[in-house]
Amino acid sequence: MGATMLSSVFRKTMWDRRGGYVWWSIGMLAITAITVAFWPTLQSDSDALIELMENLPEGMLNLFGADAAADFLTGPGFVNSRIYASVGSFIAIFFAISMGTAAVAGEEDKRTMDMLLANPIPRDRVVLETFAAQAVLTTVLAALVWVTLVVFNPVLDVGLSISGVTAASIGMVLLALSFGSLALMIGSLTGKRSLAVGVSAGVALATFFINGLAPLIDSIAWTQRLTPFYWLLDHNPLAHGFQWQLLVLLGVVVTFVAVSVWGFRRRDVTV
Amino acid sequence: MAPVIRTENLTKYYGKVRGVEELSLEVEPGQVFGFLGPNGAGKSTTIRVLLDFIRPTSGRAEVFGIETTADPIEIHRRVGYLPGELAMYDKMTGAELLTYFGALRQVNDLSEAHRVAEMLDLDLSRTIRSYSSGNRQKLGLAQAFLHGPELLILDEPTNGLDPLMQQTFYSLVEETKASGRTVFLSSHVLPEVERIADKVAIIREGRLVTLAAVAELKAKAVHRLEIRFGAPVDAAEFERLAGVRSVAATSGNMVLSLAIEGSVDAAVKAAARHEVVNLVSHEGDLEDAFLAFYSGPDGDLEGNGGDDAQ
Repeated sequence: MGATMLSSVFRKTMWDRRGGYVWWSIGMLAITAITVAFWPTLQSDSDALIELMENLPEGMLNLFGADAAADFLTGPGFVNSRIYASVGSFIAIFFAISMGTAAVAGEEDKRTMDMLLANPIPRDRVVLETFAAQAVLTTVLAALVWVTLVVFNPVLDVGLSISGVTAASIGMVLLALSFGSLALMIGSLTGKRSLAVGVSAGVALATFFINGLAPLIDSIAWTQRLTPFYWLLDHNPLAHGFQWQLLVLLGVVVTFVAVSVWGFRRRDVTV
Repeated sequence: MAPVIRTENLTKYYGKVRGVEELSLEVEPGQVFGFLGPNGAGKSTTIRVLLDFIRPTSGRAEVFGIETTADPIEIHRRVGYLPGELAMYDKMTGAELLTYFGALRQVNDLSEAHRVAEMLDLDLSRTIRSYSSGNRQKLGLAQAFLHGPELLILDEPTNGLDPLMQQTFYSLVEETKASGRTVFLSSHVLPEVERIADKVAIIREGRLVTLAAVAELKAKAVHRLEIRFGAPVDAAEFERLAGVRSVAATSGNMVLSLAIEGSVDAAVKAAARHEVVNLVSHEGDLEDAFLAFYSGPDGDLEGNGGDDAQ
């Protein structure tokens, strides 16, 4: 193998992932499958669940993407809280961050950037092709969620719509790429691997909590709008299908990638 | 002919840390140019400016007459490069790395890279992770020659190579020169530069100390001559001769040890007027010149070739 995979920076970036990617995929498939498999059990025991949910503080509900306890008791509400508003999205986010970090800062950290750039390829192409690989592989992770949900939905009577699953999965990709392109941008601006991974993972966790908890305090409720999670979750694409708010995330990704190109073009390559 | 490499008052600082200062040099086509200096002198800094990995703080650099910051891609197309800090994709095999870089260069014919690897006795089927540092160096050389570049920029090319492979590398350089191509190589090993370079630039603490033809430096180097005579001679007779810097007489003036700068002609002709039992000459090499350059912070050389500094 190898010969055809090693024909561009884009393909080589995917080739680099051939070992670890299997595990990301298995993780994503497993969390999705386990979640929907639980749905019938939860539904049959709904009285106890309602009681439990109503006793939870409002913040906890918000954190998991529900406005009220009753949201958990619909199929879409349950899937949304378990996958798109929490674990599933975080798998995609951390995967994208790992790729965004490896792209420029990781290559410099391993000291292979000089040798790569000695080839007649512009720095822009290193940024753009590694980002393209990040986008493709993150999309495949979300596609695994899509396939799993679409297959199990009729079998387990979850009540999802295909347009909703499609919109929410696209949203998950854009959410993950927001943080993946943030890691790419920090790496492209500084060349520092630990900074790229640390800041973007920290921002991902911080904005997750801000989105969940800020609405509880009126004076800071607006800060929710600064988080990528708000633009995916607040308009609930899983229930309502495609929402224009997802385009805000696309704008964030495009901006971060553009700054990455500019940043790497202008600075010294570190050794 | 226009120089292949030209730097003009090239200065690079990393924040407050000195890289190179006011470096001006030219490399002619077809030359093997040795860039000599201890570690940390600024050799790699200069090379990384030539490839536009880093940008000058002031001054400028051109390769093939192209300003390095203006069109680095065209420069990369025509240059083969061996990095000094050699790191490679550990998970690939040697052959896969050559395939990858061949694809990035749009070169399908990898026979030149494979030929160099074979000359250096490198097994390309193994993963780079399992390579010794010498093997990594060999792969680094093979990829530098991959596209038959008209200029090779090699940062410490013999690092980690065993003596036999160093000889192979030297013949590779000779072959490259014979085909009219240019080689710019850095080294901190003097005999190596003396062996293969036509011209040498010596750099210390970021500044150019000397720039001269190797033959010229050799001519200025000090030869040591030991002459055993059949009868005692007068040392003063030799002290007056052109180029003689010191004379030491031992064994009751039967043996003279001479230090001579440049040609030994005058001393040999003077000795010939006496009965000479034995004569031993130690060929002058750049080592003396080199050591002298590094002997003091101001590079004071006591006439040992230091006047070439510019």
